[in-house]
Amino acid sequence: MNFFNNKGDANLLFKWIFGVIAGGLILLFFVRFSWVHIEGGQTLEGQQILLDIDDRLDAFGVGEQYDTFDLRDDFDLTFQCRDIRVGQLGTVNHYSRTTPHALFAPPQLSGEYLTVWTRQWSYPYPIAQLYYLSNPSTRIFVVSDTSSLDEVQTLVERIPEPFNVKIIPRNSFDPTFLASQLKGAETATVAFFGSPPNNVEELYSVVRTYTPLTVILINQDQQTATVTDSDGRSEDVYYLNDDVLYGLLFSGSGYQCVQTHTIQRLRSITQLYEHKLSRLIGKIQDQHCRDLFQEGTLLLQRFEQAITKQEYTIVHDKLIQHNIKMEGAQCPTIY
Amino acid sequence: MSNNLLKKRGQVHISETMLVMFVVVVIILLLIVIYFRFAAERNKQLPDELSKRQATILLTQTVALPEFACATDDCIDTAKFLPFQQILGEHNVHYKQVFGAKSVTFTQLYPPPPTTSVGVECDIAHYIQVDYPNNCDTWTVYDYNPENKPGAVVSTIVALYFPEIDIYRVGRLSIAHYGSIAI
Repeated sequence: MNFFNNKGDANLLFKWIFGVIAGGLILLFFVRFSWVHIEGGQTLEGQQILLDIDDRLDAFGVGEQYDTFDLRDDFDLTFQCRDIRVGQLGTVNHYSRTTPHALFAPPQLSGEYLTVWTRQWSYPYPIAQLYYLSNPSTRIFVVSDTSSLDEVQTLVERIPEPFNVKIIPRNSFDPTFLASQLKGAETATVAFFGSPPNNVEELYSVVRTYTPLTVILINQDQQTATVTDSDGRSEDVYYLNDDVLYGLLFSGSGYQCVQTHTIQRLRSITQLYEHKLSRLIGKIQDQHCRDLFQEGTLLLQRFEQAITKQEYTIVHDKLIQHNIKMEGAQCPTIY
Repeated sequence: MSNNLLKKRGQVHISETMLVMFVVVVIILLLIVIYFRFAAERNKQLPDELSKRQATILLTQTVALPEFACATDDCIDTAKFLPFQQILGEHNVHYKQVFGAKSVTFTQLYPPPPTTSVGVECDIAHYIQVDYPNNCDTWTVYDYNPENKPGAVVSTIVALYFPEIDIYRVGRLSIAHYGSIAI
């Protein structure tokens, strides 16, 4: 290309140099502008999805219902007790949010869909809304011995269809077949009701090579369980009723922390009822009702200070009986 | 003479190019400024929008909260209001997560309270009196407005149950939200 005209004028060359420099600068500016904009968009998206999930859980948390949330994009959600996190830990696009909800979920849920089921936990009065979270690539299998099969079947049938919880009778338990069913799952849980078969270890050693597997051994009579996570760590836990048992099935190794939170809620609601009764006593004229109120207050105090599962169970049953007694005596009831 | 003319022509060409570039750059800068202003304005409104959304959700949630709801019926147990204020201090962190920067108030609507009780807060001093619940009509169960902002209010009608006298009355649950979302 001839940058000089026939009179030796360098005008065209100057134009080109000017154009290249100015164009380069403008291009650089736009590249940086887009970069900042994308980063800002991701920050907003990460934080907004957490807020959005939290708001949906809030709106969802009245009564018993289930639904699948379409998050409209693939997200890596991490659940740690009451913290929900989005994105990979240690990266720029990692955000977390602490919620007041009792969320029973596996440690990690990825993908576009989040399946949520809520139930109100009453013990014996309403305490909190429990949230059970899963996704289409999470598998839960329940293995039951024949003596408790009907009871376990009723328990599993209450779990909504989208959660895809399968029940296997103990005598049909085949580790190789089950291992093949768990292939491709993001996380898997196998819960054994009653005495577990001898070949559980076989299942555990095969599955854990390709899917994080949690094995739960449940003793329904004692309302206790042993949870073994995919790293081989075991812990003994207890549950107070079926609503909390569902939480154990959905959260596995994360159960203990959420259970502690629900017990705290139980204590604070019990405190509230205790204060309610002490206020109401001053308003009641009937001596018999006043005596029942005193008794009720003592029971609530015992309930609030309970530590072991046995203590909770005993006082829980007594509170139900006492409330019925108060109702029969035409007195205002505890709950 | 002809050399001067060529020089002048070249200068005119350079000036033209610079002028065009300058105008283009100015237009681009103007567009960017307008875009940022628009984005900033939209982001400024975002906390208000989210706060309103949270308050509306909270209305439904509060009616069902075990802290206020009757255990068996669809109503609000007024005997839980003062006990709730007692436990609020101890469980402050939890309730700040539930409500955020908001004010939650219950008011009795029907039967209309006596004129002397309108707008009177039902505190412990009013509760222990014999004429309770006719000596007051408002229960502010939660109030957190750290930045002292003016608030917008969303409300709904609720059934208020008074276990002391075993009667139901009509009330209103109002939630004032202050434009910042729950922590």
